[in-house]
Amino acid sequence: MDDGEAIDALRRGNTEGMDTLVAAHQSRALRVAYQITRDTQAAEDVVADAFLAVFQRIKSLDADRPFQPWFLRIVVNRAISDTRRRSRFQRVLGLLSRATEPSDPVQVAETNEEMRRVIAALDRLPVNERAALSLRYLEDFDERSIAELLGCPIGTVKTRLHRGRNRLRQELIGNGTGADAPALSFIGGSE
Amino acid sequence: MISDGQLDSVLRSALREDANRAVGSSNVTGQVRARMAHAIAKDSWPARRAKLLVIVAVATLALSVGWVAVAAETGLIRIHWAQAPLNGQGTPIGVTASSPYETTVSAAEAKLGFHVQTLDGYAAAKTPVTMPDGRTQSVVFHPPVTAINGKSGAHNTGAVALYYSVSGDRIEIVEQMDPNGSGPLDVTIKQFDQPVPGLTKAAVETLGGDQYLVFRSPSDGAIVAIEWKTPEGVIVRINCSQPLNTDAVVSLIQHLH
Repeated sequence: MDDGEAIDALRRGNTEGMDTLVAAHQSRALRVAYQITRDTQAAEDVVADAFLAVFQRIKSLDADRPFQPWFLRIVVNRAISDTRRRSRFQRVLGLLSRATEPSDPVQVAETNEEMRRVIAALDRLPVNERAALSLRYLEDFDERSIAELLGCPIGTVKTRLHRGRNRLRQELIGNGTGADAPALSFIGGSE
Repeated sequence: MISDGQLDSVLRSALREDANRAVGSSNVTGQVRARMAHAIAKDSWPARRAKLLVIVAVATLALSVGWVAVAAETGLIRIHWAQAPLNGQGTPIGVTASSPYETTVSAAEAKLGFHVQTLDGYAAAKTPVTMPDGRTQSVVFHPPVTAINGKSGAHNTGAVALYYSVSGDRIEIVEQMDPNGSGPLDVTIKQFDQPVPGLTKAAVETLGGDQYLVFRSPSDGAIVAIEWKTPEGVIVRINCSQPLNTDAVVSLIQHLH
């Protein structure tokens, strides 16, 4: 069953159509939602809610439009909203706890140091820049597609990608200790 | 100095590795099914049951539970099966009520006019609880519903929702006075004309000598929610974020006081 058939089935009340859509699209949606929310539980909630939104809007869905971009747009918007809604305090707590992880010697040994620094630096990016970078580098969307997904002009996407990459570059060539002072920089840099 | 190519390469591999580690094994199929079942039941629920339902509904965690309205005669729970089409959206219920807000147990008791049972003293139960959206909740008061589908009236006296973490699972306890007073307990459960994946099985069960309305997971039979009415006429409902075994639920009930 492809997307179109699954949507038709769902419109007829056959809920197996949703199982098909979930199986086909959840992995990508979860990855994108996670990189925006930086929280596994939140990512699962965002994606489950996005599929529920599909179900609730299924009759108004334009069958001629491809499903995935429409669905990912819902996921991205919800992930950004969710991230903004969560309190700054909670996010700082999350960052602090994440910053303590490398003290575990097993984890230190298993974790690539460069990757850890990149991820720590990503945590401190404004959510819009993180969303743009995630779509570009995690899912290989081009700038035009990212603009459509985020619902903003392509120039804005270019700006966010440029700023995001520059911030990351500064983090990585700066002191190289991105995980050491997350709270202060987060408080100063959040949107 | 990091070149553009190096940065792109590092960023790409770091994002993918991190995402796969965090959500590579995640599967939201069950959550989606539960939310669909929840939405289907909610959308087509008869308005005449709404006055009992809405307060419990607005406080309920996202669970794979069937949709139920309760009015009770202590010790007796009668289930009425309501035939319902799976297709179609039914008649939406428009509920008018002020927004819920954080409060204390004593303040809630003053508003509700009855003793609110808590898990105070139960060492395994911790409160407050961090919800999936990041909010921290302990005691939430849900003001009375003042109108349903535009018809104003005193539909209930409000409800209180208590939040606990027990062994890492979120537990929600919702308590409200049964607006039907001491009348018979009528439990109406929708019976769809097609199978609904993930929809919980509801049944009246005797646990520890008392009758309860129990909602069990269709996959493993664990309890996702349980509901009963106290001799004082208060409807109590426990919602579990993760299905619990019967012993764990009975333990929760025994520690409620």
